Amino acid sequence: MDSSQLLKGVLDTAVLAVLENEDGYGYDIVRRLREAGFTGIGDATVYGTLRRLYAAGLLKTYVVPSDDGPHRKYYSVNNQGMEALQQQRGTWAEFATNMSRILGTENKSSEGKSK
Amino acid sequence: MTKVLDKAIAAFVTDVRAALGGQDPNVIADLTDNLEADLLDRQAAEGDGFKLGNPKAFANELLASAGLLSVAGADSRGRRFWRAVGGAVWRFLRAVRPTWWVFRGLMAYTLIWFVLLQQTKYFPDNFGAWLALGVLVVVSVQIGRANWRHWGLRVPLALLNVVAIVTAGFWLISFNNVRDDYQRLEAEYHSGLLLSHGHIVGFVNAYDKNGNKLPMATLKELDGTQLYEAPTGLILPEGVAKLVGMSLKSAIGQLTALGYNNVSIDYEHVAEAQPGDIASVQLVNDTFGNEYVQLVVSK
Repeated sequence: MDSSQLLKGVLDTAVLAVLENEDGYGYDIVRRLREAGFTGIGDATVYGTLRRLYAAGLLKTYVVPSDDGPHRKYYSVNNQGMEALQQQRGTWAEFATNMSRILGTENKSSEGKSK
Repeated sequence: MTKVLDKAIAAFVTDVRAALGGQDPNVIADLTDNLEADLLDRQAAEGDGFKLGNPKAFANELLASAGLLSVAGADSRGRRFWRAVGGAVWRFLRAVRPTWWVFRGLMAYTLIWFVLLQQTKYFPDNFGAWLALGVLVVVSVQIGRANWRHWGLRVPLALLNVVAIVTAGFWLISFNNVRDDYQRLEAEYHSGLLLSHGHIVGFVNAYDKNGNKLPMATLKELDGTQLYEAPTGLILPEGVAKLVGMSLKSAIGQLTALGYNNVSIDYEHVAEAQPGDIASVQLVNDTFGNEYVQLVVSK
């Protein structure tokens, strides 16, 4: 199974999660996601997701001036974003539990047939 | 090295913005305002492995992840407009498909009648023909409702549809001609105009057996029904009517005295008229509506 397809379904949650404790700017968020294991994620995918989450009212932005380069637009999760993240945590936990149960049953079934 | 890459990044960002050209300017700003700084960061992190890639693909990825590609794509507003128009037309055509199915049955009826019997029939004119038309319409509608997916059935059906469309073209033209002929004949029937072989008789002259023109104003049937009446324009003023029988010279003098300056003179053999005398006089309007006097001089 292609993990990039799975990631598309949960990318919003992942972006909110990496911003939950610390604000970040575009490439900084890409880097954090890659360090978290999503190594194949494209930066354009993240930038587009940030714009969509901002347009949905889950993020807020502010600009931090830089002396040695272009200014940086930082993203942070607002209250609405925090509520959405909590809800998505619950959804993911339930989904992961169900998937684990199914996959565990499948494993047992395969073992049973092989016997 | 870094300076060259900075220029490349700036050019890449410009190209990405150009690829996003069909979008709202605020959207473009949201997506690319921080892009140059982000790419510089990436360049610093990746070092020699840093590659910019295709700006158009990058723009499409931005739109897709921002949820904008599925709605508008990277198309211009014009393309989006025409796509919307095309979609509306397609939905309309799908909605009126049942009408086409019924009409296709009628076309099958027309075509079969024409091929088998060499006759043009627009609508049935007896019970058997109505029954045949009904069967063909039901078959056509059922074929349409079946909505076959198999190419082995769809291709022949498409060809039959083309035949039906061509037949419909001929049918509509012929039907239109018949309707026009009917309307014209009906209008002429009620107009009181004298017809000869379907054509309007504009002016009637009578001739004797020697080919000499006879004076004539009105034609009537035996029961008194008037077939033709001289137009009111031919009712001559008294001074002009008296020209008949005069010499041409006298007639011209009389017309000049009456104020008629436009005169046309024809020379014809006229029975019961002396050569050189005026045999008939008419007041006529030319194609521009100008009135003139037409004299026929006996020769």
